[in-house]
Amino acid sequence: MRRICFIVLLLFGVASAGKAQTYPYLAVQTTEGEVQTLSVDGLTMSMVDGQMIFANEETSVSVALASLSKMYFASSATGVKELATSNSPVQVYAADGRYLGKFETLPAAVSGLRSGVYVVRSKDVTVIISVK
Amino acid sequence: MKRSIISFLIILCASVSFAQTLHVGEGGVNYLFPASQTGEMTFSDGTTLTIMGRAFTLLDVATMFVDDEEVTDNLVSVVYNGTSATVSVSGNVAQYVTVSVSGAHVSIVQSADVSDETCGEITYNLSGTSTDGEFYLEGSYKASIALAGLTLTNPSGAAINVQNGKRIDISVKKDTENTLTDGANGSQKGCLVVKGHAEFKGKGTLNVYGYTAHGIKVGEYMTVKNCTINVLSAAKDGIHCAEYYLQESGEVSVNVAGDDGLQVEIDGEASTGETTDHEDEDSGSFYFLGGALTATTSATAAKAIKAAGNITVSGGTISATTTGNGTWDSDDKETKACAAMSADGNLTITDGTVTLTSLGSGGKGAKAGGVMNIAGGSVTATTSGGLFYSNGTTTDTNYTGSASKSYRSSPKGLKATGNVNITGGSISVSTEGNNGEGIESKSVMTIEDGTITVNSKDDGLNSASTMYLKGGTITVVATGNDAIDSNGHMYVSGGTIVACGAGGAECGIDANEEDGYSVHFTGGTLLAIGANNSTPSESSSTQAYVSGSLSVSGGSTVTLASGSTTLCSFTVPSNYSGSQSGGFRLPAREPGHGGGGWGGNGQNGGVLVTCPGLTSGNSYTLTCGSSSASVTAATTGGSSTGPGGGGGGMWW
Repeated sequence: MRRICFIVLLLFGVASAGKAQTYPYLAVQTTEGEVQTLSVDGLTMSMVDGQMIFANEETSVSVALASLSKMYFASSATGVKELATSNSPVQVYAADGRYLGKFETLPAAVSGLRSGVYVVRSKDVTVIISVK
Repeated sequence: MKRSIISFLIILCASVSFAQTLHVGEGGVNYLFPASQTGEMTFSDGTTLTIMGRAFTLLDVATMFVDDEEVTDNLVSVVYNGTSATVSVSGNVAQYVTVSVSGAHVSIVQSADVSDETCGEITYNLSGTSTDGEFYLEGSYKASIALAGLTLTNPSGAAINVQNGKRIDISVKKDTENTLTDGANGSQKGCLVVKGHAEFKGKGTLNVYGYTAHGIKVGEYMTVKNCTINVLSAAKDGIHCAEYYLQESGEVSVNVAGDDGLQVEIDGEASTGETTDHEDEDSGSFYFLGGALTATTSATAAKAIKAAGNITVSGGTISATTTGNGTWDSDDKETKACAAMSADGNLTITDGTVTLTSLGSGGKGAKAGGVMNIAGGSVTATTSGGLFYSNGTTTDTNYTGSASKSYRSSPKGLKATGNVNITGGSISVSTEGNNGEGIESKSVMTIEDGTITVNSKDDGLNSASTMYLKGGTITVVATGNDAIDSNGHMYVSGGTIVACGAGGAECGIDANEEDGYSVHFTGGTLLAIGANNSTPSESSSTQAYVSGSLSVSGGSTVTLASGSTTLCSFTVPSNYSGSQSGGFRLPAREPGHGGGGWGGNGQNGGVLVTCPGLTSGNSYTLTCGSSSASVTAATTGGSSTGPGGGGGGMWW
């Protein structure tokens, strides 16, 4: 079942990529090159205490203003496909920021996680995934 | 489960079909960036974010969010709501406009970088309501302003002020009503001000109340198409523009008390005259091609429609009215009076319906500083005021004296300083007041065709120089002076003419014989009623005429017959009053009475008729009801011709 949901997640990215005029994701890149991708559904951005807070219907991410480099709309969740097919280890965090553990690959992480929204971080890519 | 997965996929696919838009709120302005256009949005030092060339200071950003709102490129939208205004700027022009919002006072500076090579023309869409707001726009590239249901009052300035010298489209959106009002005692030049050239269009309605100066002030040319514009109040002109005014269609109504209804002036120092397609034209001219224009002013010495150049009407309907009296112009040291329509240049009417009314003392229907050409359409001119007099201290609105012309302004139906040429159309002129002339040329008057009806207090038709009556149907009744008065030669070569003078010393036709001029008959059918009708004195007059005395009354028929053959017949205008003019009977003369008779000064009997088919020396019968006279035709009469006397005179 989880495998199916993960496939759905990938299909979502593929489907999104096929829609040239739609950009369901906003990618945010830091000055260190780290990229976080967020769904634009209900996405708001606000500045509080030197942080830019990106909040959507699923999660909220804070990034220091000083470390922000750029952002751009994306037709796919940047890094998901790459992570899904790479052998890079990933670190997984809960939506509230709690560190949950390290997995050998993204598919491995998806297999081991319960339903929910997670922040998955590899060497230079951070993505938010939803495991059904 | 598979079913739910499929559903999930469907939902996903549906959801991604929406366009995403990033909203950035800053300074009360909402900038809308389509996700498809933003590209990389860069942060700098944690203080600024640049999106599509527009740099935002992060500390000033009040809101930032993404939704699926559709964005129209090149659009700035302003929605007024009481004491505030919401401004939305499309992302592709965000870097080209600087917006300031203070309450409902919106000021926008359009960058000099706007061009066809960058973003192109920007449209500013205005809607909503405020009793204390404004829209101010600066720029140097053409722009469009859409009025989409706007009710805007600015107590301290112009409601809309566009300081942009380029072409400004003002589109009054279909089925919307828009009302602009400014405050009194301000410094603004108008309630709606456009520095450049304004092209009004759309199918909505725009109402304007200008309480400081003009209602609509356009610095360059102004065109109107389709829309309805009502200037309901103006402290000065209702509409004031330069270069030229051109109305193709639509309905414009101006009702003011301050000054002129609609004034067109020359922007530069000299007129360019009319140019091909009006390219770079600065003529001060008024062109009316179609639609409707109603212009009314109650100001003294004002013009309902005034052009520094020409006035050309080729269609549509114009109704122009003035109600004010004349006034003393201390600068020019002469009196000035109202005119429903006034052109410093030529006035030309080729089609359309033109109704001109001037009710005050000294008022004129239309006047042209140049030539007046009427070739078609329907023209009605009515004045009711008397002779205006003022020397700066004393004023008389119904003057009967003979003071210097500088102190007087006479009412006139149609007046041209240059020639008057009438080649068609239906013209009706009525002047009721003292000294009111019907149609006057200060030069040459030529009538070739058309239907002309004049009921005047003073001369019906008057030319300072030669008059040519070549065709048309001309009916003139003058109750206080000559019906047709030429101060040079009068040439009658065609047309059907009924000229009823005031009687006494006044004529049906007067060709200024006392100064050596004469009337010439070479064609046409004419009935002249008046005591002193001019008669030909030169051999170039080849068509014979008869003259006699009849009892003529309004509505009666005057017939000239040769035996039982009617040569011509006229119906005397029903408003002709015999008690006032030619309805008298001259002393009976015996047939064959010789000698000077009535000769004297070219005078003849009360009725003069000329028509084709008359033979000099032959006798004819002139009849009006029960009154008849046997008359003898002559080709020339002049000062030596006497009724019934020798030399081909006539008897009755």
